[in-house]
Amino acid sequence: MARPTSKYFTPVIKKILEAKKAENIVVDQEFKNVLRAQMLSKISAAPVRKEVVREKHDVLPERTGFDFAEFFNKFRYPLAIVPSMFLLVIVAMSAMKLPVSIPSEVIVPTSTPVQNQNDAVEDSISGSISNESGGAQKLKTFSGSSVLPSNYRNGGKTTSPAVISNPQSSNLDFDFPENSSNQIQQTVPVQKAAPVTQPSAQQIEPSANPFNFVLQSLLEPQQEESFENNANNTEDVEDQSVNFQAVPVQPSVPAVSASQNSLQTQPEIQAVKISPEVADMNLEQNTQPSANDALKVQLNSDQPLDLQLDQNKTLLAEPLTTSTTQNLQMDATLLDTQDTVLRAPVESLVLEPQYTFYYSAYISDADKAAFEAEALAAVDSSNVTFLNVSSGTDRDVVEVSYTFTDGTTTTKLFKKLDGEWHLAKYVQRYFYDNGLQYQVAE
Amino acid sequence: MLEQEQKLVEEAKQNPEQFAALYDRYFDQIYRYVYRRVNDKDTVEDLVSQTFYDAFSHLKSFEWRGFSFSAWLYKIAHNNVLKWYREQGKTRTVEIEEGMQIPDVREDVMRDVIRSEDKSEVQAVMAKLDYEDREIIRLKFFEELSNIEIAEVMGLSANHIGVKVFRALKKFKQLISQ
Repeated sequence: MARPTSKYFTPVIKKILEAKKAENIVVDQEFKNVLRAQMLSKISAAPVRKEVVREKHDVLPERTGFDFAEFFNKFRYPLAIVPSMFLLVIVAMSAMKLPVSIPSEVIVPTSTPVQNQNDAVEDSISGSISNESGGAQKLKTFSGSSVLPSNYRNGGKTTSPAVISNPQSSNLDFDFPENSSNQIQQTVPVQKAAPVTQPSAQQIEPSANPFNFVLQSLLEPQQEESFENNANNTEDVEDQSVNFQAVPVQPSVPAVSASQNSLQTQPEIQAVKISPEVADMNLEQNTQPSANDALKVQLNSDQPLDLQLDQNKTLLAEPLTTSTTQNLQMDATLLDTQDTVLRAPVESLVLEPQYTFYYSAYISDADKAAFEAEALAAVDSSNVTFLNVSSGTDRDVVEVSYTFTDGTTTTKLFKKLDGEWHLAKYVQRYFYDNGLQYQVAE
Repeated sequence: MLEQEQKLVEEAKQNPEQFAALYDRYFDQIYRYVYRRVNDKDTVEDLVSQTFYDAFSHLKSFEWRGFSFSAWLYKIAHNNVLKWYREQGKTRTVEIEEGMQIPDVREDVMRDVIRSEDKSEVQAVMAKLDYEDREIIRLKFFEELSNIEIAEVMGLSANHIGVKVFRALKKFKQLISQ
């Protein structure tokens, strides 16, 4: 209801309202009802008409021909693949037809393959034999273990080849004659010692590890331990041949001595001298090897063994300190006494830990010194090979990464609290300030 | 009341058949509004029917912007009347008494005499006013619309409607005192 804005217009507004009341506009109800009915009928008919139009459009499309626009709109992606693949094939074929130019220095092999290296080493070892036989026929070897017959395990005169065992890694030096410049120095993996209750039984399995010395056959004691390096006989004695194969040694292999007691002894470097002619030897035997003809060396000695191979094709293996039963000798008569046996104690591998320091700028020299004096002093350097000290964005926090000898790593946090460095651990990270809360570890 | 109107509008948007409720609610107001401006009954019926058809067809475009649905209907009717006048080439004013052709038999004779005098006087003054002032007085006191609704119907700023009402009344008083 409009209200008069002021008393000034009151009489005017009264006249207007009286005029409004005086008007008598009668609404034609018949027209109202008719119009209402028409509107409702149109409202109800409108959806039906839309559906009829839609059905007419869908069911009876007025198409005079092929609708290319709809076809391309519907299959635009599959159609786009065809030219794309065609272009891709053209590019690929053109690239395949491009001339390939490789510099000559690239295709020249810088190193021989591993298999060839092994062959070369084997050839170098057995070179003298091949030369003596006058042919290039290679020795035929057999795989598997050779067991030392029981009658050769004890007794003073044995021609049992042995594998040098050492609590630590041992070095075998192949001292070639002076006219030979070849020298092979490899580390022999130490075989696991036999139990104390069976000190004399030790089976040395041929290792598949490269650069291992593997004795694959044994000599028969009944015969003279002479080597007939006749290539024609190699086929006959192939199962009784003794082959030394130089294969690489993994330095991480734990060293095991020949006996359990020897584990406690001071490790020594065992030197074996092998003449080139003897390096790849065959021991002819008249007797056939047994089925258990695997390499088995019995050692009771707590002492390391010396294995000497002289130029007269004699393989000698004996403990450094000869005992009554542990003298492992292939041919004592042919022992080359002129060859010196090198002995050197093998010291335990102690690596000084390598430290790297990356301090941030806000850590003062005094704090660095205090940190190194307090925090790093507690580090057991015997097991740590690498230690990385770094300080990041967090103030008064230093992160120390330890790398131990076994390859494992760990990280510790040191937090400076009250002027002292403490081993700490962070307990919560806030994303809004990228900060850390540290708690001193118990 | 405004909430009820809003509910009816929303229902009519969802279900077109619910537009009948709005039709029943506002048909008389729109009919009288058009009748006050057009003296021909057939023309009134045409303009009223056109107004409600337009309202129904554009119902989904209606938004609540501070004025009622009735103001929106008044605006449609106002535009249709102006359009009809443009088509007819006429700019003549609608005489109030032309919409009062049906006599009110319920009034007594004395009151009819007084109101007839007022009506004739108001009619004479309204005829002398400008179109805008006459339309403002009509919407303000006959249709009882608010300033915002008047602004919506006439397409003016709501802040100026109060001033225009004051000026129209001032002119009306000057004319009636003469």
